[in-house]
Amino acid sequence: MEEILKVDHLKASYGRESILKDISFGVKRGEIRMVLGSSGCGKSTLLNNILKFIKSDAGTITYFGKTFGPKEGLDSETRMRTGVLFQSGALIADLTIAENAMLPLKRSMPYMPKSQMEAIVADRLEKVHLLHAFHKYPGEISGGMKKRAALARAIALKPELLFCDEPSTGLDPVTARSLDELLLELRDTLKVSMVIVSHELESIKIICDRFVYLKDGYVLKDASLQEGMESDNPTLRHFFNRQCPKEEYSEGLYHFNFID
Amino acid sequence: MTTILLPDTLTAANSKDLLRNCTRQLRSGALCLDGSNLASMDYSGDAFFALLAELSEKTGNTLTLAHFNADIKAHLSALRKMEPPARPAKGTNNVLEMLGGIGFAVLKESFEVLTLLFMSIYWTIFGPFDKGKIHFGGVAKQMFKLGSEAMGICFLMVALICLTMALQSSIMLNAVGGGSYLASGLGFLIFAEIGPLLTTIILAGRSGSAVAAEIANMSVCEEVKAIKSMAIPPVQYLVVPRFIAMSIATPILSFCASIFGCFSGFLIAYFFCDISFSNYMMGIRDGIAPITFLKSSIKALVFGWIVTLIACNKGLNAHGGAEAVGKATTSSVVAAICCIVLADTLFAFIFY
Ligand SMILES: Nc1ncnc2c1ncn2[C@@H]1O[C@H](COP(=O)(O)OP(=O)(O)OP(=O)(O)O)[C@@H](O)[C@H]1O
Ligand SMILES: [Mg+2]
Repeated sequence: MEEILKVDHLKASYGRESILKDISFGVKRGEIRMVLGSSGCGKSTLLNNILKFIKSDAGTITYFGKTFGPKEGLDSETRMRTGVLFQSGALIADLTIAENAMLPLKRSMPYMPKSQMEAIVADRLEKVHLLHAFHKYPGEISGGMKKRAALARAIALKPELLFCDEPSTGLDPVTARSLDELLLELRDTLKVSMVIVSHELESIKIICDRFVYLKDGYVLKDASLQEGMESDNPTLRHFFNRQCPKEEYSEGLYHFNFID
Repeated sequence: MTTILLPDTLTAANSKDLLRNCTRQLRSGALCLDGSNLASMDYSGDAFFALLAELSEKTGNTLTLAHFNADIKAHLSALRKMEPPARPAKGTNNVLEMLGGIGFAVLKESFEVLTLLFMSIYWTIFGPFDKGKIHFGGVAKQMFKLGSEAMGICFLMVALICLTMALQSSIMLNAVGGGSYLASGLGFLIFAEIGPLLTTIILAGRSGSAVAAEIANMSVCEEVKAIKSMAIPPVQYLVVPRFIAMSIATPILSFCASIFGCFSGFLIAYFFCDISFSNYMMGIRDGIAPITFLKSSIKALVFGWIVTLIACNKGLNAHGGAEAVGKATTSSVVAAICCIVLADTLFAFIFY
């Protein structure tokens, strides 16, 4: 199948600290591709680099067949075809939830009458169960609601490619599940491809088609969910079975004389 | 060998005296700690035993732990000495390199601010033809936030400073019998210098800091990235409305503030130099050539640009946490005031 996004030998660092050393993977049309890894391994950094919010050191990114070099920014056509859900939500604080969700529409369809845009936004907010917060400001809603509002904004234009940084973190189980269903629906009915960063095993098991597991700046495993769960690599086994390896130390211990 | 009986709990609250006692004993000879009562301890207990174990190793005096319960024994047996990781190497200690770094940063920022200026002018001119991109609703809001709300403080400050200045000069002028020249000198000084300079310095503190803080907060909270992700150039959405608002507001504010300054100067002229209102106004009119108003407006406009663009640039470049917002705000005010004064000096040479 056609690859809608392709990351090729990406390298990135903050100052002298190299975070991503060599990352390559592709995303096919209509597939949910998950980026997994331990906390702080550089998943958000990877998304920032793919989306060209920060300059990479090397490597190219190909969107919809158009290749961008490490120091190039994305053009606005590509940006309009992609949606992003940020880890913190990143709603504009002085716009209401509805106005936030309307921004991408205003940008790409300025000729559309406002009433029509409001109808579209209401539909999207309804999907994430936030219709009641239509006129509220981001400061007036909870963290989980912000995340859902941000998702409504990300899907306002029905993008072909959707990036989500930890979409279900901080949501209650029911809302998290409905969000998973929403993502599946987007994939199945609209053939939206997604790159999703997540730690939630439950939701990974429901929505993941293929994943990349990042470790120490490299791709440890690039495979389907099934293969990952059956893998006998200790890191993956611990991840998918939610285990924490017990560590035994033998060095640097203090020595005490105990007597009874 | 001395034996010390440990209490039933060992916590940060009671370990201090005990530790002092035990170290003294262990320095002079072997020590036995009787733990038969010891049932629980917190992390100060870990540090307590670790310290004594190290001391025992250094002095060669044996430390014996007697009658400890199994839990504490197991816990202490697993106690490990952790080494903190090495501090990462500092950038540089060379004074010249540091100065070079600062110089480079200043050059880089000047370049960024100039780029912002050109982009803002470009979008101000071509924005209206590009429907849906620029947000003109934002301009009115920004004018209110950055201009109108700063009006009171600007007028008050300029009026007070002009009052003081008029008073000081009236004393001097009266001494040489030139009190009647107060008006013409004052008028020129206020319109050409005090008005634009003081107004924009106050605006830098009042509105520039607000802009820097707001945009820096947006950068830190990923909102700027979100704007970018929707294919809206941040310069257009965030900088241009503020740029237009300040370009309109600053010359008007500076002009009005100057008028207030003249009126407060009149009080001094009337009470200390016996100048009537009509004479005062005539004096002011004689002192100012019409071109002065234009020069003064240009000055105010440029200073307003300096305030806005420096604040926006600092805000857009902020990254990190809440402290980055504070840093962007303070440094934008300092940088803006320095640049305004610098530009004022330049204008003094160009215009007069
Ligand atoms: N602005 C920054 N400057 C310097 N280092 C950074 C910066 N942002 C992140 N890092 C470092 O980069 C590494 C990766 O961070 P990143 O935010 O990408 O992790 P993550 O995988 O998204 O973690 P999490 O799952 O907790 O969100 C971390 O070790 C962090 O210390
Ligand atoms: Mg992250």
